[in-house]
Amino acid sequence: MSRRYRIKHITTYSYSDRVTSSYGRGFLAPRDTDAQRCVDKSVTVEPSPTDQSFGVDVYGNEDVYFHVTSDHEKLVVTADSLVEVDAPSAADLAVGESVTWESARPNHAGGGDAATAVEFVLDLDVPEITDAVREYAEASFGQDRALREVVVDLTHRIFTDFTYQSGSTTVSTKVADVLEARSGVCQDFARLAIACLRSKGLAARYVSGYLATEPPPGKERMIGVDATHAWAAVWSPEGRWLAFDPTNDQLVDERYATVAWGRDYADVPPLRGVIYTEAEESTISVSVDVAPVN
Amino acid sequence: MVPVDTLDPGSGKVDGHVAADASRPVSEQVIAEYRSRRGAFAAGSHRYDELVGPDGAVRPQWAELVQGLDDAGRGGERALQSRVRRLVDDHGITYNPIPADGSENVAPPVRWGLDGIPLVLAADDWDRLESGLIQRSRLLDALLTDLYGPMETVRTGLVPPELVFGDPGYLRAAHGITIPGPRQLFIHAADVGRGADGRFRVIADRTQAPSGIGYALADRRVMSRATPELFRDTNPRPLSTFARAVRLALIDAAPASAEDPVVVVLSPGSHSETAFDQAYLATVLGFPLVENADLVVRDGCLWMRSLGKLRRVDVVLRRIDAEFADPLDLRPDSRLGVVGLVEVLRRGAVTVVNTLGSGVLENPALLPLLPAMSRALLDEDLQLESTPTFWGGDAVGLSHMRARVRSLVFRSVTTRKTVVGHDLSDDGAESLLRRIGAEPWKWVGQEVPEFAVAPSGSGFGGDTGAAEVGIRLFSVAQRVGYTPMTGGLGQVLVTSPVAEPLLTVASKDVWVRSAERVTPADSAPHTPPASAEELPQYAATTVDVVSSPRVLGDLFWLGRYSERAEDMTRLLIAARERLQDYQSMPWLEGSDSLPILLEAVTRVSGTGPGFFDASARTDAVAELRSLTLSADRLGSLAQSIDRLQQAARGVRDQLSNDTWAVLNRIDTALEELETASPGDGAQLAASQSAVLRGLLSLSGLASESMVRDPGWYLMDAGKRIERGLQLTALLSATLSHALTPSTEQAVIDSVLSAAESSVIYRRRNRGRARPAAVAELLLFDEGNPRSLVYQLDRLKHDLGSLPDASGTSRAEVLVEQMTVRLRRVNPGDLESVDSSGRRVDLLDLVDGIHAQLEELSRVILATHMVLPGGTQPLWGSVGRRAVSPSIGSTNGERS
Repeated sequence: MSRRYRIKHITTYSYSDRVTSSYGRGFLAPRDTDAQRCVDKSVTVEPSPTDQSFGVDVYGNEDVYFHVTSDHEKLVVTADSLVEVDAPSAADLAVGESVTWESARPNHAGGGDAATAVEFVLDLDVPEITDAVREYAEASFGQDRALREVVVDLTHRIFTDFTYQSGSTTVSTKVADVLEARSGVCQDFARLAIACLRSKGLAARYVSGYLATEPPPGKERMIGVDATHAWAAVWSPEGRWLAFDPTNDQLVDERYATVAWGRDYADVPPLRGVIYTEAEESTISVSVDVAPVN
Repeated sequence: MVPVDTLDPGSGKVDGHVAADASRPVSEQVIAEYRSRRGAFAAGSHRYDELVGPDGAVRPQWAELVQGLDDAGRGGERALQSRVRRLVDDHGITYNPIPADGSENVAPPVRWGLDGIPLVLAADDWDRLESGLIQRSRLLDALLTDLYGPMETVRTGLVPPELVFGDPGYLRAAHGITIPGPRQLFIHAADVGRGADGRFRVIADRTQAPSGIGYALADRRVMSRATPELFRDTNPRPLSTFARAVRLALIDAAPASAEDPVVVVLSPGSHSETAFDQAYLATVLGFPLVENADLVVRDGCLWMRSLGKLRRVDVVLRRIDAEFADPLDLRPDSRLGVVGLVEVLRRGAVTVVNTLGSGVLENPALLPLLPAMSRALLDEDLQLESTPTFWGGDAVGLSHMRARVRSLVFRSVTTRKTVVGHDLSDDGAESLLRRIGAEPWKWVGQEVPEFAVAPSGSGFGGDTGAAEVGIRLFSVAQRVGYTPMTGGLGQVLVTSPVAEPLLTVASKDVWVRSAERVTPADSAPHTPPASAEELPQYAATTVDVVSSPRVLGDLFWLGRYSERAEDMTRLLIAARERLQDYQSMPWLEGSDSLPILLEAVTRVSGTGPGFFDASARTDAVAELRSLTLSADRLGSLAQSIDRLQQAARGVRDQLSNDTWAVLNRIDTALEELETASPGDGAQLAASQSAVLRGLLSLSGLASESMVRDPGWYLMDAGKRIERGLQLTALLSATLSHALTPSTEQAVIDSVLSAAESSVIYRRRNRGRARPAAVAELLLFDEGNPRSLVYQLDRLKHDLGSLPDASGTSRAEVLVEQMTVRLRRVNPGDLESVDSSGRRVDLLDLVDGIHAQLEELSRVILATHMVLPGGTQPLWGSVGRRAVSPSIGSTNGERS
């Protein structure tokens, strides 16, 4: 059973002065994965760019590049996509079920995918793994525990121990500070989970995407709707990645549309850019709508 | 005296006979001296001796050189060394030391060190080096191609993944970027040393953006001129072949779509450590030297700014580190990159070499893996080995590192920082081992590199001594394979104790002998006498000349500062001469002119209070000396010269080589004044004249040795504006009031002298000087190149010669207005005074034109030299960046 979503993601920048040139790169439309197909996508920039193109990065994520050369004080980037996401298969539901977490460490002697997964074991180049991270991780990593169990437990602990507090952090907030404050947003929880897994020698990646807005019948409306969302995934020796969402205490399923993954947020921000301006101030507003399509 | 044998015992030592046919008799004394110096090294450990063989005889490749030094007699080496130093200065070969405190303060460039004695390599030594280097280049190329492609070396376990994914030189954004042709590694450099066993070993490979080719070429140019006889007799293999190969390879690297490829050399700027190296290489190759402000990405292509137009760029020789190449897709805090460059590269619309991400090959932990990699990737045994290196990620390597902590040099894989085991305290060693134990994969330990000993003239007061030498070798990728530089950048190293990073005291030209040539006499009939090595001269075609706002700005200021320096020098000379006339004889007629002149110096140079202050008048020589010498004093002569040199360095590739010799003479003149006693008036006079002669030479070079292109016209416009400004300021400061006839006579004499118009004035006007006659000559005489009207004529021509001239542009209109204003004045009226004795009409004219000239300068700067506005990240104003010209935009204007 798969589900379809029409996703509209509008980002508006307003500047206090004229911008004469604006270069941007964005990860704004769902990528193709084993369990997901992007059926249709478009990215529109206002004012109209003189140059725009789609590309593919090192992780297979689709990105968009644009260059606006007309003077403007407002830049609007609208991504519109139609994506089809499959419900987890039996194989998905078994990922990490029958392997201990210790044996899920990518061992480079193993070669192949395990060797390339090592990229996601290494700490970031401004390190995030502190003693506090190691200490926090410890409780979930019982000896010989199944990888899937470890991940479910870590997801649940982060959900329980931390408060979702919009605006309490920024894109550059360190994991250690999140740990200290015990609060943050989806991105912070994903990064905390990743740091915990890496501290144990596991390969973990950062995933950006969207979460369906329609609450399932009888369930509460979930946090992370009407915004871009972020979660994490861990590598399992079956060669698959087990994705999980510490913000909502659940494993990722057909309600999640994946846009891009990387080592960290910085690899796949929804938008980054460089502008030429004398403007002192700018404001950003983002609106996301994930609508189920029948 | 210490025995010179450096070979291990039992390695086939030959009896100490001089091989009779291999070398002519040599000076026992030179060798003995070398031996005794050399003995200092031999005491503790064995070293290979480049000069003297195990049999005690001079190795044959050195025969001509030793003979030559011997012929020159005692003191010959000293003379050679000082000739080398002078040539280095004349070529302006410099190095910008990086401030030790890590600050961004700009240190003044220092003289490049070049040892007067080259390193001579025998043909068979070179053959081994060359074939080893080429193989190593091929191996690293294969690895680079794989790492940014299928990554089979990682998947198969040949290369541990941490060494790639954890390496700061590995750039994910570089995936999908390939350079045309079969090879991805463009320029490869390898630092080699020679062990006691005579084998060469690579200490480190340089693949990011190797420096040194420019220095090696410049060293060769100097050496071939400093010692033409030795050069001819030894006849080293030329470096020009390599320069040609680099040029062709760059053109060949252009995307297939480029018909007539435009190649540029991208420099981080004239303040960067190896700015000379970059600029000189660009000059030799005949490609423009650009900075990021000269380049822009639009419509999926890379362009070079040129007078408001954009010109497509096809190939970039990159001298900025790759991670700084594009603030959009690489380091967002980069101030050196071009926004959008990665995108253009991904589309294959431009080629950047070395390709982005090539720095990953510099990971020192790759060194121990190269032998296995060579067998796997090339199916060959590695010929040129590396200095033994152990990687902590490997159990055996780690145990080596633990056991030999004192004898290894430790390098961090992730930061490339170095710790010398030898220098560590017990606690330090323990804490290093703890750090290594915590993350062993991040560390390597390398044995202390071994270097051979060779004759050196550096650091020994000019006498021939002995020093450890290393060599940086270079190769460049061509379609057929790698072409090496037959030679390299020799390095004279600071000798023990173990220094890290290796401290180089000087560079050394490396002379590679040809195999076939035995002695000059044998081959003389067949070989034309070698002359000074001329590098190929590739004149930049006019279309290649960069006329970006940055370059035009530097040229405009070059024009202004060189004129300001010249006018200032003349004024200082005129004032000093008056001072000598009247200081001791104040009763002389006309002595009242002295305070007027001194105050004019202060006013024209904008260095107040200066002579308006009584204390400065009492010690006027000191103030004149300070105005000549104090570079930190705004408005001083030295400051103008400093700015002039900064501007010149920014456009080094556009200036004639002789420029540097001239600038060097000016520096020397100021240095001599600096070291003279403060009261030495004769030295002040001598230095001022020498500076003036230098500035006149510069003018001559500008007028006779530079192509008339838009840059030249703007430089000349700068010169004309400045001359007009100086002249009007001088007249305003000196002729503002009616004076007694004798005083006026003296003032006018000095004004004419400062305005370089005394001779013609005297020829045309007899008897008493009159302000109207002075005005006639200095303002209205179209034939006097020092007159105001002449400057306006030239400005009209300069501005009219710019490609965007319309006849009605703001600047052209301003010049026209000034011309009309001048034309309407009746010279006779300028003598009229008001009731207080002020020459109101004269002041109205010169002050008015002065203000208009300043306005003209502002207009020209705003029209041609505006750089793109500040850039900032799309999401806010963090990391805000202001691009400014290398010389302050209008702070050269006086208030």
